[in-house]
Amino acid sequence: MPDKTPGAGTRIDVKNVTKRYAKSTAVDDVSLSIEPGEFITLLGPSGSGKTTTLNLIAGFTELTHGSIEIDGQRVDHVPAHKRGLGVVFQHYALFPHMTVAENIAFPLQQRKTPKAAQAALVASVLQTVGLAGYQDRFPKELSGGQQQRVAFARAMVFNPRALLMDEPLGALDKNLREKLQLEIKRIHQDVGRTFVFVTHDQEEALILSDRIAIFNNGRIEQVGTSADLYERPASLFVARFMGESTVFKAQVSSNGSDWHMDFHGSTLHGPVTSTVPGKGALVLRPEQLRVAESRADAPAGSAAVPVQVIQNIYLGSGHKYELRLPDGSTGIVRTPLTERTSLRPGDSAYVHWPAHQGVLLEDNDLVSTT
Amino acid sequence: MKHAAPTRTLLALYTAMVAFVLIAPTVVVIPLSFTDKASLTFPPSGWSTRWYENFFNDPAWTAAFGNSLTVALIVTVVATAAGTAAAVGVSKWSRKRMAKAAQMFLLAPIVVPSIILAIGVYAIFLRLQLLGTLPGFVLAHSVLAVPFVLVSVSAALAGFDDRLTTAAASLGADRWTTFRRVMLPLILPGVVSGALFAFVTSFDEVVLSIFIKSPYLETLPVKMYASVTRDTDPTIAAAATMIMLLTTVIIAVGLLSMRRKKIA
Repeated sequence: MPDKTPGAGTRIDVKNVTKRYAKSTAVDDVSLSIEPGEFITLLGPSGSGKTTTLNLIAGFTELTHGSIEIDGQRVDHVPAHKRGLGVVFQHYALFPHMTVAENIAFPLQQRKTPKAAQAALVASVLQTVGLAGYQDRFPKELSGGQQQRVAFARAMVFNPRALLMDEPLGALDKNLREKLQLEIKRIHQDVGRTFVFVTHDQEEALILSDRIAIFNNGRIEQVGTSADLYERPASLFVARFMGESTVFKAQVSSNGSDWHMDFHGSTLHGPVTSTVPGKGALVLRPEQLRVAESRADAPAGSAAVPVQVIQNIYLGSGHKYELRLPDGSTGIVRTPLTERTSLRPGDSAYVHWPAHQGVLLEDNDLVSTT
Repeated sequence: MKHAAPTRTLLALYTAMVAFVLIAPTVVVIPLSFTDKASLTFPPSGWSTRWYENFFNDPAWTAAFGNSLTVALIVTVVATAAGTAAAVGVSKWSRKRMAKAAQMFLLAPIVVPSIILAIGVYAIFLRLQLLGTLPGFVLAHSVLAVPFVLVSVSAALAGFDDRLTTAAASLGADRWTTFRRVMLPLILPGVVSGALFAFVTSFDEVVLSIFIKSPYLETLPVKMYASVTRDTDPTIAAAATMIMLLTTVIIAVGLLSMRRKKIA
């Protein structure tokens, strides 16, 4: 079994890495420091460069510029089979002509582990992934979830410096995926290794990760804990990708200490905390917003914008409103049950919030409304 | 597809007719080889195994048979290794147009008329003093056999999941180990059938062999050709029957063992 010493993980540094193909740039000047023992997720839509970045770390793809260091040593010209990293693939990639035990023993044979030790390691890792007794089966005799457990066992059995996973749960159904997510998290806590996980599913990223790196168009938009990304998104892309949000877009002016924007007749403002963009986008999370039937019902000094109710959904734990903003875009509000309203679809209302809340970001959308 | 009964009968008749036309000329050789006369007469008037005795008692025939076996076995090894390597190389070539061109080039020996190939090989072998030598025969036959290996291994590689080589690399296997432990076992049926074709190609090759033989080294088909033009002795029918049985058995065993592997 892998070494269980806490903090025994490996540090991985991706420094200014670019991967260019003939006609496209898959990864564009990406830098990322992965801490020892950390569970980091590379999250982004398909084609955002997250899988290419993982392949560059694993050594399956040659980088165009930059460098990759594992525990301070440059590895970008070390072939994949000498990097000592475990990799789990979305498509399992089990060897169909070998039994479960032979598959798992394969990395041990490459490392010239003595036969007796191999058998003990295989049995032990099969126990860990809950497949004791399956050692003589062939991959095609197993279900998808069982095959992926074998793939995990095979990638972990040789005590790799870090475990890289490329959408390992992507091919499984929802229930199984949720079960395996918890198992992966448990295994990570047990072995204390560095885990690098790729997914396009933000919920999965939130469940598993210590930190998340958000990829978009071959670049990293932001790296941080889930709370960082949700509460302090660095870009409009991150704000939209991580959870629901309502966005108010307008020209922004600043007097040095406060910024102001005129959103279709409503004045919005807040304290200046960083560079004030020209075209601004004020982002608010559904829990930060409230709905009032009239302007007078909103607390004095709060920011308020007139809206039209599209839907008022009762969720048991509270209400969820979908609102039409004056610029035609959709807003989302979640309120606790204590703040019941009798608003129906089509009604006019006000959405309001304490004026200092929200994150002001640059409006870098190509089309003004989405 | 379901056919009406009369159509089915007609179809069966037609199939039988085509099969007969295809097989009859080959099968005629068998009774010919058991004739008791010293000439090729069909149907034979009496039966004997004297031409088989003649075959095994005549050192010229047994030597030719031995040569054919030796050459074919070495060609099988050489062409299978070269053809498999070529197929793997072509499949991994990232510049697809170049890979396609290389494949066409390697397949040329089965497209070019063998008489043209024979003249070219003769001219070069004359200069290199390879005429009538074992390495000469092996080299020439391998050129003809490689395309068959290439085709059958390429077909097997089309069904091979290349992501398995990536997985093997991540587990610490170098390229050679990956080929030996992961790729080769999975494309083995293609390699085996390529090897069988290589053996058979060499074993019954005649045109090229006539050009590069010498009085000291000739293969069985060359000896048969010489025999049929000179003495028309039924020993040739005995030899032909044995070649036919040998190649049929090899191909049948190969195909059957492969089918069994697929089921397993």
